[in-house]
Amino acid sequence: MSLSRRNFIKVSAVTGSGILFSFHMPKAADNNPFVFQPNLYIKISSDNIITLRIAEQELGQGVSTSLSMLLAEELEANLETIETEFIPYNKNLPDYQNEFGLTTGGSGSIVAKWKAMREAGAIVRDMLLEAAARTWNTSKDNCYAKKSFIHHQKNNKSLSYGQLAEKAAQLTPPEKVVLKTPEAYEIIGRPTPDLKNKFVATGQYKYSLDEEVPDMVFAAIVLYPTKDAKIQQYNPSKTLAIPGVSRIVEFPGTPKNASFNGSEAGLAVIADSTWAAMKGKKMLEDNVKWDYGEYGKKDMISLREDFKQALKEDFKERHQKGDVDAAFNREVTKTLIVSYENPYLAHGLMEPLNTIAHVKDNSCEIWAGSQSPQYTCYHLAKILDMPLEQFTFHPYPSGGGFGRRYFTDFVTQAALISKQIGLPVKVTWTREDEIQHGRYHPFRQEHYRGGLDKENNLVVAHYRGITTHAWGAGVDLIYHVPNRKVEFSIRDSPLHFGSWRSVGAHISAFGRECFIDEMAHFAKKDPVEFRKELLQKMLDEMTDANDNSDRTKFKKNQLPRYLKVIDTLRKKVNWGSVLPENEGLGIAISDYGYGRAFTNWRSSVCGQVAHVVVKDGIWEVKKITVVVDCGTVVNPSGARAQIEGSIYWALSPLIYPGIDIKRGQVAQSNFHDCKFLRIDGAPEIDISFISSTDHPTGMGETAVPTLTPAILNGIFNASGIRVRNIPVKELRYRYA
Amino acid sequence: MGKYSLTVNKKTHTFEVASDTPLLWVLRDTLKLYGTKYGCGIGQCGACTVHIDGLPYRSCCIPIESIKDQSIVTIEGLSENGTHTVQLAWQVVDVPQCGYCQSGQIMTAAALLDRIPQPTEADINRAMKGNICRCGTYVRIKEAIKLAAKNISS
Repeated sequence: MSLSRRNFIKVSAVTGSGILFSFHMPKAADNNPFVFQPNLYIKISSDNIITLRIAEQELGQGVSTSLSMLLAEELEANLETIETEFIPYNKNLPDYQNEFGLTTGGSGSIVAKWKAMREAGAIVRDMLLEAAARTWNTSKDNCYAKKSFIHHQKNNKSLSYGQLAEKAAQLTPPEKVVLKTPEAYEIIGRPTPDLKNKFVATGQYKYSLDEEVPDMVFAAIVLYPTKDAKIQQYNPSKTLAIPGVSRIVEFPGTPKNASFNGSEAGLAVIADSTWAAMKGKKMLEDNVKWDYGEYGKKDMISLREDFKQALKEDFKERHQKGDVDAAFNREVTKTLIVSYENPYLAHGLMEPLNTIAHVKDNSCEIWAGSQSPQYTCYHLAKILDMPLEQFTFHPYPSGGGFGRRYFTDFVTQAALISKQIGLPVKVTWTREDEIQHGRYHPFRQEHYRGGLDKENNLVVAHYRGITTHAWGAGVDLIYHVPNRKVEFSIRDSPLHFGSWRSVGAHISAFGRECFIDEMAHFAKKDPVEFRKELLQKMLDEMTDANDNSDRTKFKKNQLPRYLKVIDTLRKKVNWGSVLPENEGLGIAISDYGYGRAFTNWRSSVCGQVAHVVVKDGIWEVKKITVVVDCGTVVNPSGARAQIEGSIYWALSPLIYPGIDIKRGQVAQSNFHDCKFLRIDGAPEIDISFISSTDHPTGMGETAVPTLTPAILNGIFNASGIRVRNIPVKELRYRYA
Repeated sequence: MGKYSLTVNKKTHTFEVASDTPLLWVLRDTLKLYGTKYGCGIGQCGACTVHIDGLPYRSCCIPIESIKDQSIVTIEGLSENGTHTVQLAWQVVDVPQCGYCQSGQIMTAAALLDRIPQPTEADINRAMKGNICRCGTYVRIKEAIKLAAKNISS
């Protein structure tokens, strides 16, 4: 970085409670002109408690622990005494130049803060060392930092960071700091239990649903059931007769003009308790007459019909190389045509969405767990026609995010309700609301056509994907096929689309990894050898390409990662060994994320082998073996947790039906008919990381995409049954 | 509306609520004991699990009027200082991710170990099957229960 380090840090004394070091740590890819805008604060209190204030949101990915670890590593702080706070969005926190300044998603927190967080720690440590040296009238070289104390090398003197902070704050921050080399890490790479565990285990960890503010009232909502529904009439009398219910408020919908905004209109039942509001909601639902609109005529049958129609219409081209038609006509001796289908899927966040909002004439205050507090404020500023400076967003840990809380709908609705009643209101979604008004993993069908020449080489692949949203439309084939064409078509969806843990990668990897497996069997080749050969050929193509495009740079770095992961995985599972009857292994690989210059053009790569047993029409998983290359692993316990969670996340849609649509609405309503994996169905998982000192490349979603194809390929190897649509309908899961 | 008296975590509270109010919402909205969570409202997910006379119950499905002279324990009262074997095992094994379902998981696991101090894999699955975790902490929940069982026996 060329800017003077002095520009990155400001120190201010906080009355009574300690010293606050404020940093502007630019995101690694930040090229904007420099303005001091703090996005990281380290407070050292006189009793030697270090508080890290971060802009990242805690969603269960353990970000407060892993960022604390990065800080503690260089600060030489006692990790156990670091506390984390989440920075509220307010007028004192300057605009980050764009509305996505405070978002948490895309498995990007550690990726973005890997260097910045350690540098912040090193800068403050250096200042504390200098402060101690001056106190003892010696040089910094005679002092060392350990566990939140500075010690004198030559005698027994020591001072706590808390004792030194005020003096350190008077000093000029160092121009340059040298970060530790990997051999010197003491905290990074050490499996560390999440720092919030003791609060969770005692019920003290607070989500926004557990918050209350003075004069707060409670609300439950009845959202418009379809995209273009209207109210014909409703009778409020029975609802208003419920003790505790005070009124019913109509709130408008807001337009969807960007990926994550837009919200449904509805009716809010205002009450003096959550229970009264929920009872009122139920009563009101029975007393509304809807016009379901044009979307009210849609269901999965009509959507499938529309997807059939799409096949007769033009597709958009995403990628092409060689000549697909010529190859099929001249070279191909055997053709395989296969299609895969991926359902709509809900998030099922354990903490139903909720928000406390208080909108006054010149202020809007929000309490919520969100992945995008700042983006939400930008959106609300337009909706409420209120300057950004008048917003305060108190972020809370989320009881699950998985992409759902990137969307602004649940906060917008609460703000619109508060604006009308002039009181702070806590809006609690019911489970039914959460299942029926989600932002869903898109429904998608993929049609693959592959051709082998007379030597059984894969010479051509043609992909046509039909989907309900642009995210992840098309596919990155990753394997070398000399003639290839990727096309897609996007159709209108009755349901709102969403980012569902791993977003487009989940959808793409399923079809691609099953197709390549089918082609391997079709060519009578081993699926591992077949993949390796085609990845190596792709690497050769990229090496020969000799262009300097970002894509080529990415591919050149990424393909060796793939090859290494496959080789490691193959050895781990003893691929090719003879298994008992009815058992089979299935392999799949995928990456998640995109390469950037500061990650040396790499993203995380995951390979999985599913050991599947199929017997008497029942399938089960003996074990999932996982190999991941995600660069440096900051917290192995947290990283493993993300892999375990990703696998169980991806397993539910293989077992249980996805979201069904009837009359333009979600047919399911709660956990009894929108089912998710339970403990007895959770198979054993064996995880290894590729040992690496590379820049971290993210861990929250990496292991989701590979699970589906690994299992489906495993089912084929165990039984000869080729499943191409999920959930698996040909067989029953043992623990369904 | 009715006037009710309820013993929660050894403390007796008196309050007035609608008679059909589920115990869950009494705990949360009336007594401000927010450790017990709302997950589904129909007894499908277990996030609201509390102990009633030592047995695990889904507090979202128990109207306040049906509780008579019974002793309720919530996550806040499971131990004096958060030192119940299960609470400690949960931290050592690093079970929580988002943490939201974990009060219910811990209450269910504690009740299981009260009844069966050395549970088999099948016992664990049977007892814990009613508790959903969307972060997928299942493998660690099993491990933590086994660790707690080991600590009980030694």
